[in-house]
Amino acid sequence: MNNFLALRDEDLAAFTGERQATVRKRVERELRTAELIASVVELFGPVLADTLNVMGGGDPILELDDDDPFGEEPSGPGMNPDIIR
Amino acid sequence: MLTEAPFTGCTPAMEDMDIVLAYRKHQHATCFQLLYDRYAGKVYSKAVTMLHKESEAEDATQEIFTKIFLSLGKFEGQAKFSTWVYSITYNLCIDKIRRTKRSRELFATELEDPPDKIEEVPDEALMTMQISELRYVLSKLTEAERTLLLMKYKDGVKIKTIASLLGKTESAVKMQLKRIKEKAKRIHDLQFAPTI
Repeated sequence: MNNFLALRDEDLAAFTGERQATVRKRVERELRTAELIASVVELFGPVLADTLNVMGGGDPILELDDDDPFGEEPSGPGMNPDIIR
Repeated sequence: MLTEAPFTGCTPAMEDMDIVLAYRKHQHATCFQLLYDRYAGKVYSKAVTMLHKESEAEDATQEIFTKIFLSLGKFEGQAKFSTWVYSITYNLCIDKIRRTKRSRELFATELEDPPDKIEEVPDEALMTMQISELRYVLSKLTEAERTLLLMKYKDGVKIKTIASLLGKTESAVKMQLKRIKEKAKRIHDLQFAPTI
C-alpha cells in the first residue's frame, strides 16, 4: 500500500475534462503560431538577409527569379483583328 | 500500380514511437491528440510535485507540451518516449524554480555533513499514512523537502535520476531523504500518534 500513489491519482483525476482541454487548445495555438513564424522566416529570411547585405555594400548572394526567363520581348497584339483599338 | 493509401490518422492501438513517427510525417491532429491524452495527466502530476501550485503546474504543462511537439524531430527513440517526456518535464520545472529563485534549498549542497545518528524510517511508515495525514505532514515540510519526498514516493523517480536532475551526489540525496523521512514521521507522530 502506498498512499503517495493515491495522491498521484488525485492529481490525475483533477486534470481531466475542461482543464485538460483548455491546456490542449493553448498548446495547439502556440504550435500554430510557431509554425507561422517558421514559415515567414523561411519565406522572407533569405531575401531580408540579402537586402541587408546589399545595403551594407556587399554583392547580392541570392539570384532572384527572373520574370522573363527567356529574355524575349512580349510579342504584342500584332495584326489581330479581334482587338478593338 | 499500387499506390500508398492516404494517411487517415493515428489510432489508440499504436505505440508511442509509431505515433511520433506518424506525427513527424503527417502532422495529423489525431497523433497530437493521442500523445497529449496519454501524457497530459502524468506531466501535470509531476509539475504539481515540483511547483506545488495548480495554476503554475497548468502553465508548465502547456509549456512542456509545446516544447515536446516542437522538439519531436530531435527524439531519436534511444530512450523510451515517456522517459524523454518526463526529463523535459522535470528540467523545465527545475528551470522555473531556479528562475524564481524559490526554494534554493532544493539545490543546496550541504557543506557540513555531520555524522548521521538518525534512525532510518522505513518507507512503509510514510506510505501507509492516511491520505489526510499525509497531506498534513507534507504541508508542514519545506518546499524542497516536499519536492524530494514526492519525487521519490509519488512519482517513483530513482535516486540516481533525482541526483542528476538536482546536480547533487546520490549519497547527498539519500542522506537528505533520510532526514526528511525522519522529520515527516516526527510531524506525524506529534499530531496523530495516540496519547497514553
